[in-house]
Amino acid sequence: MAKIIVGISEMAISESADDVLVTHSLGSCLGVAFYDTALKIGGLVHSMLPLSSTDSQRAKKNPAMFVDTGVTTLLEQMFQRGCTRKNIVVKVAGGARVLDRQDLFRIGERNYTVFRKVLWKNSLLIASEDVGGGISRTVRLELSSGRFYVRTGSEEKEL
Amino acid sequence: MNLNPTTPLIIPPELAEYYGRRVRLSVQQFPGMPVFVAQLLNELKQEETDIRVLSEQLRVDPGITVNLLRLANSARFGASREIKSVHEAVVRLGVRRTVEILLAFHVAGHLSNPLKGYNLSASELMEHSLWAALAAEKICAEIPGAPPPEHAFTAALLHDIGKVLLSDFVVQEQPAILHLVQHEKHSFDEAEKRVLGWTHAETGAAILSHWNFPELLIQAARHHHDPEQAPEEYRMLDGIVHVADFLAYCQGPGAGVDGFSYHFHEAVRERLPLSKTVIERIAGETLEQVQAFSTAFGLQGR
Repeated sequence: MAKIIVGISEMAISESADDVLVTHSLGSCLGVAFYDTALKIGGLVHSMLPLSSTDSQRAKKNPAMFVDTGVTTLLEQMFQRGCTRKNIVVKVAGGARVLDRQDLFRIGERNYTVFRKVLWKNSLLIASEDVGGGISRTVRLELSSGRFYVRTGSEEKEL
Repeated sequence: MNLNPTTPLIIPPELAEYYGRRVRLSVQQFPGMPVFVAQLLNELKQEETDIRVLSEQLRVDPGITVNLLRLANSARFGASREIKSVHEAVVRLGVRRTVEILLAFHVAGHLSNPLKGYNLSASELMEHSLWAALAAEKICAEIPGAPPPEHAFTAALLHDIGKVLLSDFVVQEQPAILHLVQHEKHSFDEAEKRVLGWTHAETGAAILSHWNFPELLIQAARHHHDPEQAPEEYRMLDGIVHVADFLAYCQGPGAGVDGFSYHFHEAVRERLPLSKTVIERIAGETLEQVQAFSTAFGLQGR
């Protein structure tokens, strides 16, 4: 079994049944997993910020940093490999929130809002999610089964 | 102990007194900082440092030499030709950056153990501190009249040093502390204070004072969760560390069990005119630098 670590502002895609895609320390960042149930192709992106317009130069160099460009790019790569909308299962975790009564640090909520918009534009629905709250999460996507696990501290659950 | 979520936890005041004495004693017994670091802090105060003198001081330590060359040669510092000597590295990085790197290198030894009380694995506190330090100096560039970036860097690098000591005490009372956080609306530092008599911020300040570090670093550690309680002259720096700390929790590793259980102080926003866009741009820039530093320091760099 090959474990592929997806770092902050990175993405990975795989069609090997042996692979597991993992990303650590999702604070207010979003971990988005796509899995095509027919082709058994899976992708995972760890995006830290909502909109690429914040820093378009950086977004060109590294689209995975932003939710809008990251999720869109990963989806395009899935389509290029023959994945189809009706077979893609979407799961998402992260978007934690700190105790900020104003909005400076509501980055997690902004990430999630942008994510919903991107999905809506692409006519996709969320199959399951574990977002918000005050916790840091680690997620993994098993390519053999499409199973998606979320871990916080020592507790793990399937999403 | 009564840990029913619906009933308030009864904490005898003797408990905080008992732990308070033990924490105080541990601070006095906390290992000293190497003389070398005190020298570095003096360098930061100097108007001008002679590059040759600094290089000579550094050359004697092989560990430092290796890390400095690795960092100077990393693409993110714009290396075009290979840098082979400490002197060249200092010229490339600049004196301020060199001193900061060395400081981080030494502090890493203190911040890299796993800290059970905060659910932090090895090197996570160092990664969090590096995130905050690099974000803090960028925030300075956005604010008119901000303190020198090297002060913000150093203050943010050391802001959580108290966790290193307090962790063992937090472990012993973690159920009570988490109960207060999860069911009685305490922030994590308020819960530490109530159960242990000390917050990690106060503990950090006590350690830095034990090391005879400059007052601005002591104040920043003490007030990084309540910057407006600091004496007026330190409030801007402490506010910058406060914001950098939040940014690091949101975006970086090392949020642990407590990272999302602190209050953001709204008054800080009036003191520091920072927009959402600026905060997010700083986050992106910080990530890239953190990656360069993490590689040079041999951190996991997740």
